[in-house]
Amino acid sequence: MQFGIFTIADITPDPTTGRVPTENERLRSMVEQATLAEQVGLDVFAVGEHHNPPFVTSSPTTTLAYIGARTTDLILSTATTLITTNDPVKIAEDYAMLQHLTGGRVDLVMGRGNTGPVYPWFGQDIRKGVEIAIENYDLLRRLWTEDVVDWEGSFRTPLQQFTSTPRPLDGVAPFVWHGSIRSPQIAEQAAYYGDGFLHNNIFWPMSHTQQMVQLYRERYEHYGHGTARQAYVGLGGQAFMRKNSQDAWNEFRPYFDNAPVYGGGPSMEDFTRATPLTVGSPEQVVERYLTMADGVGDYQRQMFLMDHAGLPQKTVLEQIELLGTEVVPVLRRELEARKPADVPEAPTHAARVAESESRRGAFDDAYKFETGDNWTGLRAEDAENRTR
Amino acid sequence: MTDTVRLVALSAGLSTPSSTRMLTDQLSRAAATALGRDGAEVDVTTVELREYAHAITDALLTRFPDERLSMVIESVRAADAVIAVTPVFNVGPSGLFKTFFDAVDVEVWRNKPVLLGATAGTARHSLAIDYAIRPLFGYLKAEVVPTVVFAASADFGADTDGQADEQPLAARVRRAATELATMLSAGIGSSAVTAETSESAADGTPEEPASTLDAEFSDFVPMGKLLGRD
Repeated sequence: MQFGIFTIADITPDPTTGRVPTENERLRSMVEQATLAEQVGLDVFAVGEHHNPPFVTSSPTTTLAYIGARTTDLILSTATTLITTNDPVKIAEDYAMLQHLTGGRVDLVMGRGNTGPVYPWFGQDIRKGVEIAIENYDLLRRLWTEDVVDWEGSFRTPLQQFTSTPRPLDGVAPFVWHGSIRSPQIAEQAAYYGDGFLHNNIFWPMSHTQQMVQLYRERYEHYGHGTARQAYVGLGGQAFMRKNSQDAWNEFRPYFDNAPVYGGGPSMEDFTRATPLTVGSPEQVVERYLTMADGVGDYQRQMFLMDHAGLPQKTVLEQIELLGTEVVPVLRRELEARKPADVPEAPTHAARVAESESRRGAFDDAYKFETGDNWTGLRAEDAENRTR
Repeated sequence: MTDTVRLVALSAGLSTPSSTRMLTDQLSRAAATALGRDGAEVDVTTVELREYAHAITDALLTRFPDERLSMVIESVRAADAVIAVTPVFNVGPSGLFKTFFDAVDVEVWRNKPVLLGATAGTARHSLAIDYAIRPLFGYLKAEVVPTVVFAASADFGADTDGQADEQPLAARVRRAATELATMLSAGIGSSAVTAETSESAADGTPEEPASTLDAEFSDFVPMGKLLGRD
C-alpha cells in the first residue's frame, strides 16, 4: 500500500496572523514538503494543476521534475492533471519525459478541473467536459502504447504518422488513476481501461465514496480486468494532529473556521464526523483511517492533504513528520495485514515493467529510427526516399 | 400508485405559530380528504423547513446533506405528491424555501406532483405565487397542480363559503386538493417515472444496472458505446 501527501497549492492567508505567503514561498514550501515526505517514509507526492488564482501550480511537470531531482524513491503524481483542457499530445510527451528523468517514479491522476472558466480560457466547451475527457484520454493511451499514431477526433487537430517522444520508459506508460467525486462516467472510464480510480473524498461522507468505488469495482470486473476487489482504488484524506487531542482541536479550529472551503459551513465537530477530516492525536488518526477499507474494500493508495487553510509551513512540516513517523507505519502494517493475497499491491513502475516483460518478453530500448521522432521530422524528399 | 398515498408537506414559514404552517395543514387535510374519497390510505409527513435551516445552508456549502436533511430529501423522493408552502417575501418565496430547493438534486422533482401555496400579509402579494414561485417548478419539471393557493392574513377570517371573499380560502383549498387527487388517480407522477426509465433504456444506459447502488450512480454510458466500439 502507498501513502502520500497531495497539495492543491493554494495561497490562503493564515487566519491567526493574516500573513499571506508569496507565490515563490508557496512553491518552495511545496518542494520542502515533498523532500520531507520522502525522508519520513511516505511513498507519494502529488501536486494539483490550476490555471487560476489563488493557486500557484500551473505547471506540474516542472514542479515534479524539480522535486524528482531532489529525491530518490518518492513517486511523483498529480492531483489532478486536466485531461480536458491540456492537449493529450503534450501530456503524453511531458509525462514520458518526467518518467525518463526520474527513473519511472511517475503516475498521474486524471481530472476535469475545479473552475468553469478554465475551459474557455483553453478554447474548450465546458458543456462537453465529459466527452473531451473521454476522447483525450483515449488518444493519450494510444500515444503511449503505439509508436506511430494516425488519429482523428472532435476536439483537436488530426494526427498523421505522429510519434510521441520520448517513448515511455522501458516501453511501459505511467500508471493512470482517474479522479472523480461525483461523475459515474469517470468511474466507468477507469474501469473500462483497467486503470486506477482515485476518489478524493476529503469533503464527502463515506456513504457517497463507498458507492462511487463500488460502481468502479463492479465495472472493472465487468470488463474482465480481474475481480471487483482486485481493482486499483485510492482515497483522499485530511488530518491535523498533536500529541494531545485537545491541543489539535484548539490549534486547528481558527484554520477550519476561516478556510475558504469550510468557513461559514458546518462546525468542525459536524464536519469531522461526516467526512474523513480527522483532528486529534496520531492514534486517533490511525483509528479513523483503519476504517476506510471497511467502506471501500482493501485499497492501494491513501493520500493526505496537509498544507491547506493557510497553515504556516513550520506547522505543515510538523504534520508531515507526524504522519510519516506515527500514523503511516501503523496504517501500513495493519492494512497490509488485512489485505487478501489476491488483491494487488499498489502500482509501481518496476512491477509494471516486470508484468509487461512476463507477457511480451524483455523490452529492447535500442532507438528505432522507423518509429522515432525522425519519422515526423523528415523533409518531403526524405519521406520519398524512405518509401522506396 | 401504492395503496397508501404518501404526501410530504413542506412549510417554509419562519415564525411559530405561522400562518404558512396553518395553510400547509389546511392543504394537507383537504388533500387527505380528497384522496380518501377515492378510497386511498393517506400518510402525510409535515416538515417545518426552519428546523433544517442550518443543515440546508451547510448542504449548499458542502454539497452533501447531513443525515437529518437526507431523511427529508428521501421522504420527498419517495412521496407520491408534495405540498409546498412558503411566505411571500420581497416578491418571492422565503429564502429558506428557495435554499431548500437549491440544496436538493433537481432530478428529485421531475414529474413530481406539487401543490403550491403561499401566504402574505395582504392580498397585494397574491400574484407572487404565479410569477415568482411557479416558474421554479416549471424549471424543475414538476407537475404543478393547476390551482395554486394564496392566503393573505384576512383570508383566515373569511374561510366559509359566501363570506367576504368571492373565492374563499376554504373553497380554493378544496379545489386544489381535488385537482391533486384527480392527478394522482390519473397516474401522473407514477406513470411518468416509467416513461423516464424506458427513455433512458432506449438511449443505452448500462445493460447491467449496478444493483445495490443509488440511482445517481447508474448515470453513465458504457465506454464501448461512447467510443463507438460496440
